[in-house]
Amino acid sequence: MKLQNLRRTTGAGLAVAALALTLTACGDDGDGAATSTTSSGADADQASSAAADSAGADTFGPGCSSIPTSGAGSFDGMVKDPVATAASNNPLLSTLVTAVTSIDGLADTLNGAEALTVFAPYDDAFAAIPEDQLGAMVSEGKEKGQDSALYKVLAHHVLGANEKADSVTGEQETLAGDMLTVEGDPESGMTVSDGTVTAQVLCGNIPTANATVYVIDKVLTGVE
Amino acid sequence: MRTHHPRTLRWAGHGVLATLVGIGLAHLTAALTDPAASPVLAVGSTVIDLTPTPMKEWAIRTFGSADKAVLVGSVLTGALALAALAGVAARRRLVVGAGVLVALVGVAALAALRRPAAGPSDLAPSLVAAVAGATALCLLARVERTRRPAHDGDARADRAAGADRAGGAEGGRRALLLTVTALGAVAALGGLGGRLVSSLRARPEDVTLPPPADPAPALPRGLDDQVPGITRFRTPNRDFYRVDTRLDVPVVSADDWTLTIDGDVDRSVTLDFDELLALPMIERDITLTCVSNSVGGPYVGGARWLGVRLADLLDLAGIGRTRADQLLSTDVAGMTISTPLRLATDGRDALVAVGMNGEPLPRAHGFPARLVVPGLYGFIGATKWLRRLTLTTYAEREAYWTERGWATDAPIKISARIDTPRALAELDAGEVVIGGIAWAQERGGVAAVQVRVDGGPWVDARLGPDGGDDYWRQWFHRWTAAPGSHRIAVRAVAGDGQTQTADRTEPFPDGASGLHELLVRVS
Repeated sequence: MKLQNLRRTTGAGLAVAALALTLTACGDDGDGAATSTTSSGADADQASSAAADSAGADTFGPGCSSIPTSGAGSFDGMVKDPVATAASNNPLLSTLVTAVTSIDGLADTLNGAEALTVFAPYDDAFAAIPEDQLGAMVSEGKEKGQDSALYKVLAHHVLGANEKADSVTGEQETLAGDMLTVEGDPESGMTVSDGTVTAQVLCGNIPTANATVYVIDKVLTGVE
Repeated sequence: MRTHHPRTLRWAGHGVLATLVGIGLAHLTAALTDPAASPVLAVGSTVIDLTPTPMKEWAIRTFGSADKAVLVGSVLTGALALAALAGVAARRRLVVGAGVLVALVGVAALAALRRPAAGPSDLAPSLVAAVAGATALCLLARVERTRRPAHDGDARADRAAGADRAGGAEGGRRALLLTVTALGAVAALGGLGGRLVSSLRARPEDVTLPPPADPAPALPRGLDDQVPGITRFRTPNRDFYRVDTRLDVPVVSADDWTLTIDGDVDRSVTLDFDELLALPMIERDITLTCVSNSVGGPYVGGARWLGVRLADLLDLAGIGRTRADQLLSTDVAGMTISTPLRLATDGRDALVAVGMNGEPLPRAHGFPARLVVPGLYGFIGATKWLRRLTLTTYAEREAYWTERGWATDAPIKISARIDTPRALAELDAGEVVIGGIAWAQERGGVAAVQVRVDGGPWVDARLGPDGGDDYWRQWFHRWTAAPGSHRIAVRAVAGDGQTQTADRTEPFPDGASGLHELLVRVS
């Protein structure tokens, strides 16, 4: 172990020496053309945030920092999970996951479909629906499955194609057979509307194995 | 930063180009030495390794479940963003720009060195990247300064350009264009050369495997041709799932590969590849399953494996007096996987495999040798690029996935999957063939598969041919579909009498359970 450390140190030393040599050989650079006024300190800051941004380049939205796009299970995951598994790992989507799993076969269907886009209302979005009403919907979902009102509402949040942020805007047909309107862009924010409810995208473009997820702040209840 | 300024943009481009030259040549160097030491791959691997650290949650969120291409792309994008800044900084002070580049390479060097099996030679690619990148940036800076001598007051540049002041601007532009083109070519040649060398080295090695002393019976003909859309009874090597922590495919030569059995044994034993092949070979049909497979997921595959019984190898070292409870296997790069010794030595056909479907192991599947333990998820029994088997205890040593909170004792759960029809399929009313695959390794195989439509009664499906208890089984069921929305569920019954559980669990920490159930529409 010590020997290896020594070797590593020697290696690093060599690297530095070689670089110093290169820079020296390159010669004078004292006062280059200088019209840019940014200090190197600012550069460093931007540099680190640029690295962080590009690392998270896929997702966008004001809520991304507080919404885990993967949870306990996939922290140490080996593979990219399909959408329902990924959602079940996300503590802020637990109400949605409860709703999905109350309809037999819906979770596997979402996991097994080749390509989907899911507008996923986060837990606080369901707070707008009175608790007893939500409870009644879930009970009916358990009983009637894909013939329930809950199924219709959930299918109303899913598109049958995998739409990333650059292609999701416009009129989109849902699995419930009606339309959603997606507007905006990653920079200024995105909204999704069914004509009755307009929800804000809190964090969008979250990739899963088979679907792109947009976490939204309202449940789209305007099912046709 | 005024990125709208064309000159600033140009310098940003110089930074990117210089970095690409460095990365390209480093990639070539790595391809010639150790491909995993290539800067981008080394950083990517490090990101994967750091994933569980709570302090790095942003990285976890981004990379935890991202696939490898996205990861490599992100690392590259991040590096190039920094490189652009280095270029901009170099415009004012070359040493600052070069410093940012060197810092960037330093990160890659550290990443290359912190890999478990790293040696000093793994610094070579980073060293090349640093020298080449800095040199390229210097070159570009020089040409830039030569272009506009009058305004810069740079004495040396003045002299250089003084000879042809009239044609200076035009000549300078041409010089810049030439330099950029030349450096671009160097970067491209380095990158492509690296790929070429890697792929040449990654060609399958020409080894001849001995015939099995204990062959498997001929595999019966599956339902592949009878049920369109069903999983093939035998997974071809190129289609076999691959789940591991490697960004690249390790290139190991059989000539300088050895397998060591050590730890709490009577005597440590080291075998080379020929010595391994000289031992009696068995051949078995075994279905491997990844613990990360969601219900209905794709990470399961069936193949014919050729190799040496694990028990025979352990006997060479002598384990009669061992107090070990863990068989810790290590791959050529230091990745560790733990297998419960009790399960590995309970008489099941655990083997150190060298052949897959009649060919030497493909490199992606562990050439020259890997562990195959029927009935256990791969993360506790399917070590690829195997280098060492150590008898130890769970108290003493922790393997990679154990450190990350995954289970240590994880037998494969009885499972069935619907391959056809697909979820959300639009079907015509009338006869619909439902078909798929089921597995119950080390539980007496699959004795029955049952199908349920719309929560009704369970109906027996027809089973495909039997490929052995450790192999999966195809099944199908003819269903008369009426118009409407329907849901189809499946479950398997194992030979030991156990019925697949309907209790739903997610893959973490010991494998997913629950029935596969899909919605389809019939009209």
